[in-house]
Parts: sequence; structure tokens; C-alpha cells
Amino acid sequence: MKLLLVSALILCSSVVSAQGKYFTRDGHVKFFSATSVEDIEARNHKLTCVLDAASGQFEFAALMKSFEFKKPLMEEHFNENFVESNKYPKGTFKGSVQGLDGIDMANIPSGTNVVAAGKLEIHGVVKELELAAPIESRDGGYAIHSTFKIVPEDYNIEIPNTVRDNIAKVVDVTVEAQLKAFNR
Amino acid sequence: MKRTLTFGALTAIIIGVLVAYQVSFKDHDDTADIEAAHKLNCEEVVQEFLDDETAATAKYVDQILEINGPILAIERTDQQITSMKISMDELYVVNATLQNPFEGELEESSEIVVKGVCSGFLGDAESMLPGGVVELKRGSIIK
Repeated sequence: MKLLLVSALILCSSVVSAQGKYFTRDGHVKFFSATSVEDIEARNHKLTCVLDAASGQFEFAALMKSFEFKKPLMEEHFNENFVESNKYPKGTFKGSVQGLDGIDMANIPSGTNVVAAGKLEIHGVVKELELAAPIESRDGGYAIHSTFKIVPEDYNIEIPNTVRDNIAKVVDVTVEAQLKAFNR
Repeated sequence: MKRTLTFGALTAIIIGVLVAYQVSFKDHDDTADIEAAHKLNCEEVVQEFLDDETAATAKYVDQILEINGPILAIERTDQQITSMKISMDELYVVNATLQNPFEGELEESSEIVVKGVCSGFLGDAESMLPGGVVELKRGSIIK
């Protein structure tokens, strides 16, 4: 009887937890531009993400100036000429996770794919985006991973003629985050 | 005379190419070697951004800040410390990424002083994202 009660309590607590909010400020976002002239990579290790497991609503945000490049000149060009970080300091992706019906949010197995649909805002331009997003339960929260491509031109990011051959027309983006239960 | 001009032009071109090469391939400066523009407590800097984000952005972004306060959380990659959050409140923090991974030991709740380049503030009362964070990149542990 006691064992049954303990099991019921554990089950209830995991259900309550799975319906709450999950959060991190340590997500990773990387973009990679490959051309015959050079490969350019930038990483931001401070991606902030929140997911409401009950509603499926999510929000991701990153400061453009937190992207780190290997070379300072690349970082300077990125912030001053391409994404104009002083004018548009952050990039965001807000929306909802589709296809959660039938998924046990308290125990999502590895290999589960959902669709994250929302609005991606970069450089002051907002575009609808739908991403395949693998998600799984891990350490009492959720691990997410997604790769997608963006076209800088779609976001009015103008590449000067002098470096046009150095920047890919399509840039690969990788997002990884481990969201933890957030109780406040 | 013509020979002198040709020599001068060639010298100028070579110097120009060398300078351009140096600028293009120069590495980031070591934050540890640069004097901080501002020295503050973690709560003070977060509060300044909360009070007036525009003014605090103009004052601090792209500047090297020296921040002191208690370690709230530590992030490790391959057993090395790569970033940390400094605050007493998990909602309002300074999040510093280190320029070079730190191999020593640090304990949560212990006091620390970190220098880093301020990349701005992320916090919006109208968004789902809770609290606010001042972000530092290329950080260096002072003590």
C-alpha cells in the first residue's frame, strides 16, 4: 500500500513537472558559412530558451553581440555591417511546438521529432519558420536539437561586394539546448 | 626621380598589404591584459539595465566590465569551466563566457571577480523569458 502511494506521488510529481515551464540561458546556437574562399563560423553559448510544456508555446532569444568569431575583424563586420547589432540587438524565435498530442511530455523518448512553428526575427525582419526539432526527456527536462538554413538576403542582410564571395548565400544554423524545470 | 616614385609606391603597397593582412588575421585581444572600463557588483549592473536599458546599453555595451558577486551556476565542457552565472537571484544574472576554459576548481555561492566584454542585456517583461541577463563574452577570472 505504502509502495503504491509512493509510486502514485512520483507519477503525480512528474506529471505536474512536465506541465510546467522549462528554461535555460545556456543554449548553443552556431552558424556556419562555407564558400570556396573561406569558412566562417560563429557561436553563441548564451541562447535563452523557454518552453511551456502544457501549451507548447516557446521562445528563444539571443543577443547578436554574443556571437563569437575566431577573428575580431569577422565579428566587427558581422555586427556593424551585416546584422547591425546596435540597431537590432537580438534575434528571436517565438511560436509553438506542433504535434504534442499523444506525446507523454513526462517521458519523451530519444528520436522523437516535433515541429516548432513560429516567427523568426533577425535584423528587424520577421519570417514564418517551421523546423523539424528532435526533442527528448533528459535529466528532468528536455534536450532539443535542430539544424536549419537561413538565407541572409531574406532578412535584408546586405553583403558588401568586397566580401560577397566570402559569405555563403545560404547559412547553416545549429541549435542545441538542455531545458531545465523552472518553478518561479 | 621616376625611380624614386616607383620605389615609394611599391613600398606603400607592400606596407598596405602587410597592414591589411595583420588586421584581417589578428586574434582577439586577451581580456585579462586590458583594464576594465567599469567595475561593478552584479546586482548594480543588472539593475542599471532594468532601470534604463537604453542608457545602460550606451554606457556598457562593447566595454570591458569587471563584475563581482556570488557564483550562481557553473557550466563545464570537457570537465573545464567555460562559463558561469553571477548572482544571488536566478532570475537576474550576469552570464559570463570565458575566453579560455578554466581548469581550476570553483564553487557555487563563492565570491568571484570576472572581466569580460559586455554584449548587452536580454530581458523583456512582455516576453515569455523570465528575468533578465547581462551577457559578457571573452571573460577572464580575476579572483
